[in-house]
Amino acid sequence: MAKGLDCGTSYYITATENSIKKQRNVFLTVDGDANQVKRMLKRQRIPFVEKAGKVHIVGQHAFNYAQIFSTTELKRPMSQGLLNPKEKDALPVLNAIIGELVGKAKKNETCVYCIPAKPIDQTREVSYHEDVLKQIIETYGYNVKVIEESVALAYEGLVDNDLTGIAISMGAGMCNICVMYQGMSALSFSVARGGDWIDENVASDCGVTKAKVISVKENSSKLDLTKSAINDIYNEGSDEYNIINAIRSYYGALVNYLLTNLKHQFENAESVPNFPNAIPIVFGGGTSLVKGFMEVVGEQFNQDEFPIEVEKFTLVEDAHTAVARGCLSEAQLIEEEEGETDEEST
Amino acid sequence: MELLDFIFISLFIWQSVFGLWILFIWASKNFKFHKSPNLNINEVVKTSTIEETKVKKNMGPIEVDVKSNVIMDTKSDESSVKLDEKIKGKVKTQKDKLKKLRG
Repeated sequence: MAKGLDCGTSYYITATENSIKKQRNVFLTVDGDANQVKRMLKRQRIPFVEKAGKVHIVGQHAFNYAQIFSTTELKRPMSQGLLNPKEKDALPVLNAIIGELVGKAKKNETCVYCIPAKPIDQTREVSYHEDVLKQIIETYGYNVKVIEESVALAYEGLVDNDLTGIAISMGAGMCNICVMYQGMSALSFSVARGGDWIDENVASDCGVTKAKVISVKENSSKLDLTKSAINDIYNEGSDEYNIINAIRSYYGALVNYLLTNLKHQFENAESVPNFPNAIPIVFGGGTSLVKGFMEVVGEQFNQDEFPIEVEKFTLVEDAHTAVARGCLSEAQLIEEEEGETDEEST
Repeated sequence: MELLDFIFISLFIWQSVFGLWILFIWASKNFKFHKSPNLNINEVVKTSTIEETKVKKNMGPIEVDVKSNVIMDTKSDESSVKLDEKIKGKVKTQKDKLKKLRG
């Protein structure tokens, strides 16, 4: 059975034809005697990974602990869309997360995972990240293929427009962009800013912890970035009002940064298509899930300054899992093609 | 008679030598001769005939893909990871439309 794997900074998500699985991509290290800690965690059924005498709580449980005990340091196996170079214990944790999500392959199963495009605002390469993930997935027995994150999103969001348009995947560590013309990627790049960048800046500006900002962002049922809603719901001057206003400002700054850089890349690229008609821009990824996001995009966009005529902005259906579903489509098509080739050769 | 014979024979020899010398110079200009190398045991003889091109080329770097064979220890000693969230049910994708577009 084909599998699609979205390797995100904040979440790892797999899609198969009959289920979607999500795992938060965080961990925290528990001090103390390893055997004693493991016994305690097993009793409480808390997921963990042990490597070289260190015990790490993994996933949502780690996240919940960090929310409750604000002094606890939440660790990230990935940072800004790529493997976190500062986190020495990241690889065993990633291996355990991937193993739980994809499981062991049965005969000739294909797993398509995604990688970011080369970032334009940091000097890191994607090759090492790509190789390590491939190596981990291969240990589970899969036929492994890779595609770019924004291309995977385009496979979900641009098919109704003959795979022509712009796909923007708004992740936690990065935003990935591709300009596509009839299925061919004409321009793709990433920027090392995303949801984490918003959280860090809001926390710094409002004098609250990052955990508090994330908590408001993810748990506040009232969170709505449309201007009128903010004024109606929150008491002016309250902590929540300040945080939500700051979140809105930084969402605006992030979208502005994206569109400005897209314009710059488009104008300076060696070969870009001349679109005969206006094209759609489709958004996806966890950072685009917040209510009122599309209003913020509309405010930041200026057609007069943009080099391509834009028909509409859309948010892809089930934006959080769209990249994993795009990877799944690719994996299914690869398996079908290989099946046809096998039939022809016999 | 003996002196005349001597002069004629001498002239004939010198003309022959001179003719051969001119023939040798002409042949060395028009044909390439390869000397057999003297081979000593354990000696490698360069037989390459690649000529050096003297055209100046762009000496800037050529970008290549990094294809590192990463061998990392990613295994844990013990793990008991459980899924944070699992949504069961048919997953909707655009595979069929994608297949159609690809022809």
